[in-house]
Amino acid sequence: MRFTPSSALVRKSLSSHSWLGLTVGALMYLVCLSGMLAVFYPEFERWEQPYADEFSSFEFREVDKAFNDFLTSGAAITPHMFLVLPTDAVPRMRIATENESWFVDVDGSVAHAEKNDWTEMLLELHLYLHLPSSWGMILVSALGAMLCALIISGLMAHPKIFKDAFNFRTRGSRHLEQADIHNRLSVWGVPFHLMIAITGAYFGLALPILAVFADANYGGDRDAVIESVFGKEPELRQEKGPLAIGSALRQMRTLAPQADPFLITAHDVGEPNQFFSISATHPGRMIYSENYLFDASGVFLRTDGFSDGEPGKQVVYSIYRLHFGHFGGLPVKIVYGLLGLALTIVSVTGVNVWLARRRTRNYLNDVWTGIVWGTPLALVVSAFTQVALGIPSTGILWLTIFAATVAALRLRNEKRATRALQVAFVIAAGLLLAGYVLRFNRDAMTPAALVMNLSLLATALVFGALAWGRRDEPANA
Amino acid sequence: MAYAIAAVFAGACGVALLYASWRSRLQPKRSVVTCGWSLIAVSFWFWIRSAGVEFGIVIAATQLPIVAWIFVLTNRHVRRSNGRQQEPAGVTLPRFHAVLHHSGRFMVAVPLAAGSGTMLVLAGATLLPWSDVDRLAFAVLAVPLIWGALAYWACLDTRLLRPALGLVAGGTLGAVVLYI
Repeated sequence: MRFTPSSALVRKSLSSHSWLGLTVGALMYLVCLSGMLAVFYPEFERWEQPYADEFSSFEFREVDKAFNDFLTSGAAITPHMFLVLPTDAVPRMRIATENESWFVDVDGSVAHAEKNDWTEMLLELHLYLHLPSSWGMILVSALGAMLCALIISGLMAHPKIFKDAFNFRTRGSRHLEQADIHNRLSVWGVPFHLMIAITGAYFGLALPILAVFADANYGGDRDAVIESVFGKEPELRQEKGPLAIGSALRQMRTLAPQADPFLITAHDVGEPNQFFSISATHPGRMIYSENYLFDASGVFLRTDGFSDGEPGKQVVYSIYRLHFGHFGGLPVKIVYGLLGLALTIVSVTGVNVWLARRRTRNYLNDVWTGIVWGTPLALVVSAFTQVALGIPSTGILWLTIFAATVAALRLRNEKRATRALQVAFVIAAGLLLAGYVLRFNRDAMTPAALVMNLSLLATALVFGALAWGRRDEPANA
Repeated sequence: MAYAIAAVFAGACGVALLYASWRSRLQPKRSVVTCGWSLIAVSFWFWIRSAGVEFGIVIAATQLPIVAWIFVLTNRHVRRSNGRQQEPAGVTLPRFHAVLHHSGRFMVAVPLAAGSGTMLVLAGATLLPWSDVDRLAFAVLAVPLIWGALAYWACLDTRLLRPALGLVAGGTLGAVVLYI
């Protein structure tokens, strides 16, 4: 049996696809571009503070002492306190409250405060589009649902999309060129794009859905629903005292010899019901972690059941790593980065197709050019001002996008504006690299920093090559 | 490691066969396509053997587009520019009716489709013989997909009132099942 949509359905689907794409195009582009970069946020964090002590093995005794000393040091303790252990991906140790974080050196001494403001700005762009977090997250999740709508309408609008699976015509008609890029990247990427859309929507939709679910089934008691998924906190009565973290870490070798602990969370510190959990990844499992709960004296209580609990629990706890590609090491991250770049290009070329099909051009062509080529420039400019000059990056990012758009509007020529913004990117990247080396000196040559700086250099070379390739093109072609 | 190499090789060969069939280089076409998809399936199996079920399926699914895009790039046809230029047009403000129509479509395709989709999915989940945790997990994954499908439907229909009424009716039905 073969499903062939009628020409009327195809026409309406195409119109529906265009409407949806144009409605969310700019926001989708920002979320996809920032998401592609956010895959590498641990690497960006290391790049922002290359001087932090990096190590992979540590003494349990030292860790125990460092954390308990910190808890009794008079620092501003919050109900939840965290000890982030070094991993292969991020070989750094940190002690954190709910608001601040400090690096811990290999000898257990507390060192610099963690300050990765640019990376946080990047993540907040991806997660909230810099809006207040609750509304921003719902908006970004709505974009996930709209991406599902775009995938469905796109497949319905292009009945020959599989037949043309390898067609790729460049130059010639701009409309055909952009349509080929759009269709080839999207048809092969459908499974990944659908997965990203659904898992991305989860982050903002989970709470509203949970609220309706609780309203209907639990008399509005949301905590009861949350407890059914994430487990109930143990009820304990203990003497005040230090947390036996070293002992618990030693027990992990027998409790879960294959697991890899990466986070210790202390709950209700200093209270009679204080306890702590060790979160550990399990090899071959997508779950973010299994949590092993201990009382203050280090007696093992239970796990949260994310590795062997109900399927729904395991699925929900697997969404984060599945969405961000944080499994399988750097190769998987690079593949996610490439696929994220493809989705970004799909969101751009979709709007380009619509613009190219028009008989006339107007300010929309220029605004779109300003947004598309101004955003990478804005990311580099904001990184320069943040990392080299210490100026907060959020305002700089939006100001640069605005300035790029105004510049494109003034030029009234997409090709010239594109080339100008590409050249500006190369200059900004050069400034960022120079500023970075000047600020961090020898630390700029640490492996983690070097990889990121070489990646930036490679990106600048690509932008430079794109600009160079356009130097002979007629300005109005 | 051997399984990972075999997986990459099988996946690449599978896509290569699909490409060869598409270029009509190998005959019979149907057998070549079947062999291509079979090799891609084999690459999934190798990835699962290499990285486990959970990682293996995702890695295999992400390998496929990367390999396919390489073949698409090799098939690039550079054509002469048609030199077509778009005439500059002045700023035209959208008509009031158009603004009203698009705003209405937005309201139906986004918030109304979201509400209706959530109610329908949660109602459907309630009817499943599963635990609450499983129902909730199903709902949070299904809502964006159903919302997307409903938004597509809302944009598909030329008469906005039809999907609007359909979504209100669907949402109401879902709420009745959910709350009563």
